[in-house]
Amino acid sequence: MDLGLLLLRVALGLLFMGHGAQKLFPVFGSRGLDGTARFFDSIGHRPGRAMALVAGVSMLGGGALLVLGLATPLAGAAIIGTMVVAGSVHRSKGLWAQRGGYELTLVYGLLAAGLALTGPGAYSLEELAGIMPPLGARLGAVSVGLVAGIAVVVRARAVLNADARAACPVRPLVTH
Amino acid sequence: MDLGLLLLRVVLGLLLVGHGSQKLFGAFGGYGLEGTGGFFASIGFRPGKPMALVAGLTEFVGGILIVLGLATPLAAAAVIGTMIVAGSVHASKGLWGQNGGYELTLVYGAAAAVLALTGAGAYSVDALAGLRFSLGVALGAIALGVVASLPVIARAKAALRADADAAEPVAVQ
Repeated sequence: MDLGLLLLRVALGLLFMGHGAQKLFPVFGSRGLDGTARFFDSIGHRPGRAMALVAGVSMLGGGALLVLGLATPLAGAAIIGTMVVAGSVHRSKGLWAQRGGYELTLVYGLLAAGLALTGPGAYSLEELAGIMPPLGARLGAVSVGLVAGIAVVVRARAVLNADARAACPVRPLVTH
Repeated sequence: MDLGLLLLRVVLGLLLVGHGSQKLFGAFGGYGLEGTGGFFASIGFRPGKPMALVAGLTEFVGGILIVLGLATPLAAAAVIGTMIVAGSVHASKGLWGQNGGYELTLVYGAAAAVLALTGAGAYSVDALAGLRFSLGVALGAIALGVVASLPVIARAKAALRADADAAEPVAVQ
């Protein structure tokens, strides 16, 4: 049991740290914070730089916490939130990854939720420190991640809608 | 603990059933056995149709077993093997999913290995039937999945090399 959870935490945590680092720094073939900020601006997550910073720190920090097995419900919430937002970007292309869909973000969010619920297992800092969050706290963390992610998505939609209205104002209907 | 494993099993298993159905039945916008077989043959997995059948069945049946929490190490071995082969197709594009890399297959394979090691948890057919697999069985299942995938990849590479040689024969000096 504990060996499996350790494997999941390390593999998942390192991949998240990689994605977070891509957003914050020009590493692993990314364009760093500037590039991420421009992209975020264009899809309605504004101010782009601040939002890119939040996304990058959530993933880098959440990934590091998962690897260490520390504050796993918090790490889970951070990752679930970013994955809801990331998934929303792919939503128009459907589920499957081979068509550019949100499959990978769904699997990542699910695995983070799974870990938030199972806890990190014996080989973790939580276990060393004797921290045992109750199931209520674990479910709460998953919910916080979901709600925060949805709020960010709704806000970006509103921003894009406002853009569209500004570019193409609705003419008042002529009534007789 | 058990709730987390149940969540993991159900969603992961259903996604795998979906991938298997795409290959076997052309469901969810997939290409079915005929189309998948043609694709498989083109990338060296020959004969394409039987290989597509094997890949589709391992995903479909492996996914169902994972959802049920039945014979979890066996299901994991099937999924790990398929995911390593699938990952090999994406390997030339690197790790990251946004570049077409093998990230998703890695995550699926790792998640299956995790389930082999943790077991399916309390809400599972394994638990109902009183089946408990030792750590040795779990590690053996992971090793089986890895080992089974290697000859498949090697065979496909050899087939593609033979194609290339046939298209451009080496001149005899």
